Amino acid sequence: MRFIFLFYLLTSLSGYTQNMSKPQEKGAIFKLYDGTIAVGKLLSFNESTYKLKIITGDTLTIDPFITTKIYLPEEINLYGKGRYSYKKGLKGSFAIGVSPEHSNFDFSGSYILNSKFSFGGGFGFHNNSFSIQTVSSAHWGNIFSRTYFVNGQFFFTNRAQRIYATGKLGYSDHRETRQLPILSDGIVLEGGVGLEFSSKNKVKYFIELSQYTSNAKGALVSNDVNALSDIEFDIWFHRIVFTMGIQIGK
Amino acid sequence: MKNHLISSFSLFFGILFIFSGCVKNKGTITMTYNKATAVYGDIDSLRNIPLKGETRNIENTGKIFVGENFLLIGEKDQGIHIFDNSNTNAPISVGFINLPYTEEFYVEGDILYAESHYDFLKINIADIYNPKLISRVEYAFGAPIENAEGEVLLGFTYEVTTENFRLNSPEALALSESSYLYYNYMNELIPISSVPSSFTGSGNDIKGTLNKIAVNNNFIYVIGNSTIYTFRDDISTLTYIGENEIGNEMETIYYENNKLFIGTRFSMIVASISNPSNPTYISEYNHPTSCDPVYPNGNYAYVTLRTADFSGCAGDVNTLVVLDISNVNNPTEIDQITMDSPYGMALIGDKLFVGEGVNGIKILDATNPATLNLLSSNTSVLAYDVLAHPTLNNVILTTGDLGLQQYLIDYSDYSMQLISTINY
Repeated sequence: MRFIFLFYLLTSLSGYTQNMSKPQEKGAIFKLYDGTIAVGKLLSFNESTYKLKIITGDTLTIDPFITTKIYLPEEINLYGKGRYSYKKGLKGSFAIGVSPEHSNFDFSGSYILNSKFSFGGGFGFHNNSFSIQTVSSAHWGNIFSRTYFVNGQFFFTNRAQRIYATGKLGYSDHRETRQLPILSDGIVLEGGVGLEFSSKNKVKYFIELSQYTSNAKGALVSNDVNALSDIEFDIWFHRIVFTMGIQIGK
Repeated sequence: MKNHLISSFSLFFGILFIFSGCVKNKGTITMTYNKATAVYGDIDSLRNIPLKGETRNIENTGKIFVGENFLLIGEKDQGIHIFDNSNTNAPISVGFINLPYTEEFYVEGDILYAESHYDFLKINIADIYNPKLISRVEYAFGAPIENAEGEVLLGFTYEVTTENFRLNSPEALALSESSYLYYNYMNELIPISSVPSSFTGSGNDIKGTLNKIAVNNNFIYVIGNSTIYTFRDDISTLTYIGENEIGNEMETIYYENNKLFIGTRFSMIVASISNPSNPTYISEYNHPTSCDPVYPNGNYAYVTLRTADFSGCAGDVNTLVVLDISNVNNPTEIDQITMDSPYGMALIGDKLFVGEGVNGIKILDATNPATLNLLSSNTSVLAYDVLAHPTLNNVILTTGDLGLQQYLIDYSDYSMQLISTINY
């Protein structure tokens, strides 16, 4: 049932993004020293000039020496109102993921291979909590982890809001605490879908919905003489995580 | 625009739905618990075992009763040790009362009431060295449970076991309600609600006086997990009257002023026995989930609530609560005194002794029973339950890991001097 809803959600998202603007053909952006931003279709270029057809239909000839930054058609997808997304180059990301009994902060760097793929790696701080009720007490475990991972994205569309599939595979270095003195490290797996929003600047926002899985093995202890027992566990945490983040490109 | 709205709603409700139930933990846990394996046999042969037995070592302590000149110390599932305590400096083991599969007993005058497997017994202990059975109510706590061979479940053998369970398995769920798992002859888990209460003992593991049995004139009340069993004592005959569902997870019962005060894990229940055959619920004082002996004192009642980080009792309080029960329809909390880890209580004269486990013992002035004032805190004593001596006001008994200890109290400075220890 849940998968049916997930499919429905994807379909809905797809319908949602159908309404969004398509990338302009040969779209390019030039940021000039005087603060001017020129946006339009790149007609031609050589070592000394770029010819850009702007929205009014006029053609601008731009000397590269007066630009602070140039986004060429092979680097970006350009949409209306000067918004763009990257299709080549490096980007850095920061993301916050939340779910009941879970949170994570991830930092990552990725290489955008083309308009379809990007891959990279990063690290993060993850927390998974769980409780085991016994007749004498509720044993709470908060597992803090430093996580190292590789990740990748596959973009389904090139619209202004781009839908993508994302995956992550990593290693979790769980931190031992007073309640969790024995804790072996584990792995983390995550896969989901996301939506990246184009913008007029290098900062882009994205949201994701993903299935997160991580494991931990260890012992929950109690210092109380009446506690029924310490509890050893070998648990897989399955979470649906909602993530919000920003990415910064060239 | 319409499509846009539909898509937005789909997105919103889709996320809500997916979030609603996709937090799962799967795996295994390994816990140490008390594994109770059913023992079957001929119940008549058990009933014919003579009460009087030989002295033996204490191995698995249960209920403790302090008499004027003797001590009774329960041996779980076996019976009761008899100690001559006429000299509190040197108690001596002098006998044993055979009560197979006993968990609880209560002494009123020369009469001992005891559970023994399915049965409830009345025993004359006027001559403590020669106990005599007066009456037995057979199958008082439930119908006999039989195995495939027609043998009757007599009780359980207990073994501390460390075992691996799946999360959310029936065993893991059962251990959230009990520290025991009961298995039948096919090694199938028996729901604790199906085990006669006389087999399961009290809800906590504190050794001492916390009672499951209360006596009012010729009526006796015995609590199970959620049931009060009522018996009538007609001198020579004990008769089962009936049973009432009053609360859940009942741990201790206390009689005072025609009322029953019942401590559960969540509350103190006041029950009326104006019709002694039929205890009825009057009111309830709810408190955080915790271990909570109740000690009525006239128009007031003291309740200790004990928890701690990862404590043996769930919750997050360690207090002594003073309740005004002058209006039994509405018990009112009038004070809370912060404690360290309060267990049992005993009132000697106008002094309330509160066992604090590893944190010692506290003595409070209860001259005004509504306003308790701390007089002394002695951390050199290990005291889970505390028991008053019936005649010696300057002697107090404590239970702890070292055994049952007797202390001499000097009321001038509230110092306590150890005078004897019964190791167990």
